[in-house]
Amino acid sequence: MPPESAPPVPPAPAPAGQRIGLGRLVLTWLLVVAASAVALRLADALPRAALNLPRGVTRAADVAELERASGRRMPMPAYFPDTIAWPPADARLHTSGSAAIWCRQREGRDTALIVATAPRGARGVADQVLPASVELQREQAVRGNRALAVSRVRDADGAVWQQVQWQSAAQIVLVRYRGTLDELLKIAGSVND
Amino acid sequence: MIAAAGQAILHATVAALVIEALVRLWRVEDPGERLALRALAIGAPIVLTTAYLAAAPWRSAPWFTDRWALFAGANWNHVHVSGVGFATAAGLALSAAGTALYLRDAVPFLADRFVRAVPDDGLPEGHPAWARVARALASVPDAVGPRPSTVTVLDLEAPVLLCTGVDRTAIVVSTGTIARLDDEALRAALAHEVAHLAARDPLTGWWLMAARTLQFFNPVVQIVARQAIQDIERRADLAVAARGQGAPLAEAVHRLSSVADVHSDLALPSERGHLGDRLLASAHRRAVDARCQLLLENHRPQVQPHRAGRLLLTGAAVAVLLFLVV
Repeated sequence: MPPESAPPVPPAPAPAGQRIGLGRLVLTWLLVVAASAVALRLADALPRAALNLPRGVTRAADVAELERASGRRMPMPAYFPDTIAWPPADARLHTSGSAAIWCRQREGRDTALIVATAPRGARGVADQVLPASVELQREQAVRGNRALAVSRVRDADGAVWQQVQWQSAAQIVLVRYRGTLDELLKIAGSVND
Repeated sequence: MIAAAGQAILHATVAALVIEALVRLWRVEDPGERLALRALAIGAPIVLTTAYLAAAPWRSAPWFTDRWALFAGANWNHVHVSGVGFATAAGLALSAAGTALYLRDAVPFLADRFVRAVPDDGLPEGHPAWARVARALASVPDAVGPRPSTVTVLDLEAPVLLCTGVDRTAIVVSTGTIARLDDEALRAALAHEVAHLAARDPLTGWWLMAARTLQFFNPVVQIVARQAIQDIERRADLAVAARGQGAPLAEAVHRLSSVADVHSDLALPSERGHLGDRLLASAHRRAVDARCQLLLENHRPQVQPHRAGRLLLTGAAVAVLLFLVV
């Protein structure tokens, strides 16, 4: 045992070979911060990936909740083909304000009709609330007092959809239908916007 | 309220994991520095989470969570568990676990101080037990720390050995402790308590308990606070081991930790009770064995340079990451 009057033992500095210099200190810090950021991003994406929801999109339980969340009325077509099931299978809202309802075919599980809106002044309906698609063709048309953008799009499964989009007094309205253009124009024409 | 509690738990988790990674990668062995870093993890949900919620409530707005946030807890509410959002369910379950962990430690801590199940009056100074403690205390090297203001020797079979007080310091020891330790072990055990007083650890203990009380629902804070207590113990152990008394202190730790109903920071619960208790006790036993092993090896932690820089970088990392976690 050392003499009792011995001075306090100083902390042992790390040997030169095991000392962590300033450069390595900062590099390690950067790596940990970057790894933490990546891990957090991945953890954030997990539930969206599991539910197939893009970033910024939330689901609403029904049309009423969608209207409350978006702050806008959802335009409903008065003409609704018998082949389309009601209520909608999905109601989605994007942080940009875009909202959409997805309706399935009465027979089968495929989505066949989408009605979407975006706030007036927006560039258009956010892609995140619509199924992934590629535009094949686009034309301008006038029907009644509406200036329409009529287009054909192909979805990820290769199916071709007809789509019309116009600007009402309150919002941008988009209707996408997996069927004939005539049927789509009948649906769109019956929308009270 | 549940959302704020959930965010505090989330923030504590992120802070604790980042700090633990940095402690390991930077090879921080000095218990004083470990304690300072863990204080960041404990303080972050109290200071930063509160500040962010008050000063930047827009962090929960969709434009922020969508574009800037690294992690938004609310996204996990899209996944439902029995009709309840996963984030909400996890927040409730973790809050219950945190409260249980808090009560498990807070009740004995407060009972030791306010409703102590031991006599208030100590033995008179002329008593042989008191004289033995006084001799042992007098032989503790001055370098370990100043002597306590008072020493109380309790006539009690259960082992008691603890220090209290910040300005008016005191060491409380029972005849049950004295009977179980030889002179060398008693001297080392008292030196350990003197080292606690020199480092003002009773005050640190109150700070820790205050932080744990504010975050009683936060299981991560409760766990990190336990790690901080281990750091405090390790620091006091080192002060004693540095005087060459590591082996007798290990003997004292070993003897007191094997006794039931012990009131001392030198001891941990003995194995008894339900399976859960036995599992915890088993973990505690391993912790005691590891502590004794370190004392016997007289392992001195290596101190890395740039301590202030490490604290600054860690604080910055925690502040930035937590701002982006909502």
